[in-house]
Amino acid sequence: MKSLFLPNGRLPRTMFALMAAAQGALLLLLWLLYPLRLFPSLGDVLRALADMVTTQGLIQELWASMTTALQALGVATVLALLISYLTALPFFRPLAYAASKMRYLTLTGLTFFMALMVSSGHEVKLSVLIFATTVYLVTGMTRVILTTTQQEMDHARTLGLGEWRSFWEVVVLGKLAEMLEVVRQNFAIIWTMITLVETLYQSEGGIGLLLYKQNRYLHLDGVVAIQLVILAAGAAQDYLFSLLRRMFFPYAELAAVQ
Amino acid sequence: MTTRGKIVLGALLVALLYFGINKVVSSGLIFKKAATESVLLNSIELPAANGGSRSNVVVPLAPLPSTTPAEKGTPVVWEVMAWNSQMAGMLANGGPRTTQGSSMAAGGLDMQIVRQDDVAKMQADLVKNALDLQQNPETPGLLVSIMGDGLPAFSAVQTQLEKAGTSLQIIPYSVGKSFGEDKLMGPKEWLDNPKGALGKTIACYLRDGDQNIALKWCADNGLKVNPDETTYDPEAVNFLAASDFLVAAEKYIIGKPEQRVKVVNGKNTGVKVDVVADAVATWTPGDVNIARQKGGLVNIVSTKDYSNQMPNIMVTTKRWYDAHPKEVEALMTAFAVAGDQVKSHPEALSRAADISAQVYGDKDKPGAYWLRYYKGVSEADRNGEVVELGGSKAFNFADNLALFGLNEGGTNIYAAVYKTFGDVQSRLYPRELPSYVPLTQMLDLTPLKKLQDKYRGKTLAPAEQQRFAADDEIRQSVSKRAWNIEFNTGQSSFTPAAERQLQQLFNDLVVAGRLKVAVHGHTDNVGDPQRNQQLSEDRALAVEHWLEQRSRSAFPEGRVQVYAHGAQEPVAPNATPEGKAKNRRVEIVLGN
Repeated sequence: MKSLFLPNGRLPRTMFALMAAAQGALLLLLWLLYPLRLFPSLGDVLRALADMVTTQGLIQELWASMTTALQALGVATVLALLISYLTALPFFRPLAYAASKMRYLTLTGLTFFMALMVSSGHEVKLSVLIFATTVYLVTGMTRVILTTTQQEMDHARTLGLGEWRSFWEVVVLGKLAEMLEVVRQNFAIIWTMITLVETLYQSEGGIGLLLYKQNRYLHLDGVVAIQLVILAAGAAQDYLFSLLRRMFFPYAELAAVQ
Repeated sequence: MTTRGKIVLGALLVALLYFGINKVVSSGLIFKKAATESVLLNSIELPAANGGSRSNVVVPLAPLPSTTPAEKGTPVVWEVMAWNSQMAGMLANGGPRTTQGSSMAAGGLDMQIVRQDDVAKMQADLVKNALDLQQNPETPGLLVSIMGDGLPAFSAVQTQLEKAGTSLQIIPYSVGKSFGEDKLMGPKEWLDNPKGALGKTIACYLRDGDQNIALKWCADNGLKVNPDETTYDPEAVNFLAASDFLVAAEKYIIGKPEQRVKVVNGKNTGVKVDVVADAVATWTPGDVNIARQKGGLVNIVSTKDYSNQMPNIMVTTKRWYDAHPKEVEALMTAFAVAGDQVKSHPEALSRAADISAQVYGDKDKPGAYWLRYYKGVSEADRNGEVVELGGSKAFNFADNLALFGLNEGGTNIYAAVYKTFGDVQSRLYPRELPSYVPLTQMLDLTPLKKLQDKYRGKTLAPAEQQRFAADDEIRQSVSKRAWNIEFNTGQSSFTPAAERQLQQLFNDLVVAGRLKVAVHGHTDNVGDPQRNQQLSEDRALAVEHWLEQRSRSAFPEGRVQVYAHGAQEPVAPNATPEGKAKNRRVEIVLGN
């Protein structure tokens, strides 16, 4: 018990899980017993959720958005990996620098140009998502590459590997685990963007459109319900990513603080 | 396990997950969104023209307000979209904040006019204002201007306001209306052949005034509409949803396809099709952008034709309204005074336009821009087609009496508009708008009646009237629709079912206030041709009389014309009783 409030305190896993569950339950109880005046009550939100699942195809819409998100993430990851690995060659460094600075661009007005460049609404949606994600991924990935130490490189060279081969072993393969972590952290960007692009192109539906409609008619219970669904989907994805990481890179955690 | 084995296993796992979920989701094992059927709207009923005194009273030009803020009076905030119908309100205030010498200052009000284009934000601000007023009754009240036909959807804010212990309340006075600037723009061939719109797609901001124009046009021409923005029905008019009216215009200008599922007779076919925007429902400057950047569309119908559809309606919270009866009256008086000025004096109007430019704050749009599109202009688009752009009207006091039905033999035009579009939206979008607040809960005409009594016997500037030349035929029809108004066989008297149809028709014609009405009578082939000719004329006349008796103000001399065709134009073979019933009909053509 005491270790709960000690700096760097360590708990047995079951104990920690119990504590987290209790905190969650307490929050729900507070919500149930002390409804705020303008914030929808728990009962309302659950009712809205059930209604949207049964009659408005919430699950299908979530899946539609999810597949769009994964599609965009796949393309963006490949692009960002390419750009950031290319920074090994001095010629391409300005490109990565420029890409990472594009995080500051706002999308207002840019969607118009994207629409002119590609051929359909779906592609505009994808290109917006890919653009937004790539610039964040490049930022994270170039940081990862910069953590490569002289010692690591020298180690590879002493083993008699050439410059290209050392780069391949140390930077490309050696940093994959951390790259996956960068992807996991930036996946959230897609979810914030997806509701935006789905209101730009509403023909394909999606959870963003559902949210937009609920909000337009001030069905606040529905809004909160959808937000919770997105939250849950995000948490599940995070978990899945760390699972993949443990599976593919079982030794990556060795250096981490235990 | 080797790394390679792990990779294979991982890839398998991911693939399995993906296809598994996909299968389950698309199989319909879990709840599916119900496929929506396209709807043939019965009729969209809108009230018509204004009556009023026929004397020509010219209001003398009053001194224009100064530009110095008055900085005293009861504080209020008025949130507006960049909408030209507000000219009278602008002049009444003298500037973004009430100035010395303005009619608002004379009424002891200190008003701040704020531009707000986002409806959701307006709703949130109203709720916030209700809460603030509860905390501190001295908080400046908030008024919000919206489109009259959009109020049913806007009234969704009621649930939130009720949580804040109050409700929506309408200020029973309108400063003006849209008169041409809201429109459906489409390919020229739709003018001659409305059926050409079937299987086509109209881009617009859904569930709002612009869409209402398109919906009314579809209803008047007997075209089905598909309410679902994610499916495509080749036998109905489809809608392409945009996040606002300018984006709607942009969808047409860019012309990129969007993919949808094809639906036939309410059944999902699973086929994917690409749709593009073939037409646009929008308002100024959306129409200006289309004409200048792409062209190719003409005005199919606008609020010039459906001239009563879109009055500017102000709402506030009941909390503020009930606590400030004096201010409400002062506000209405200030608007009425300024309304007369704006309507009769160009210098007052151009001052109002300058104030508008200040309030709307678009640096590239000076007063001259707003003035130009207030009046409405004809311009050549990129392809040389002439399109009419813009067009609004300011209201004076007499116009308001006409709008709310307080004039002689008047119809409450706004009540008809509100109910009509409320019903349409809630029928098409039952999920989003299961119900809307009845107008009687929000509208209290007492202040307007009080002012009316105050001015009784004084000369008022007259309301604007629609003048119809009696001998003028309809040159361009906007819509044509057969109404099966049943007559007792061989007579020109109505069955009870017909009375209900007539009521619908009446409302329908009231909204389309500026359009002339042609009533075409037809019979079946029973009896001799001459008698049938007479009978069809009697029936068409019976419809005309019924309408004119209901509301003289909505159907002034010369608006309705009668045509008799006898049995010469059957729409079905006269061999069966059903066919005969189809032929005993009255067709209504609207046009100008």
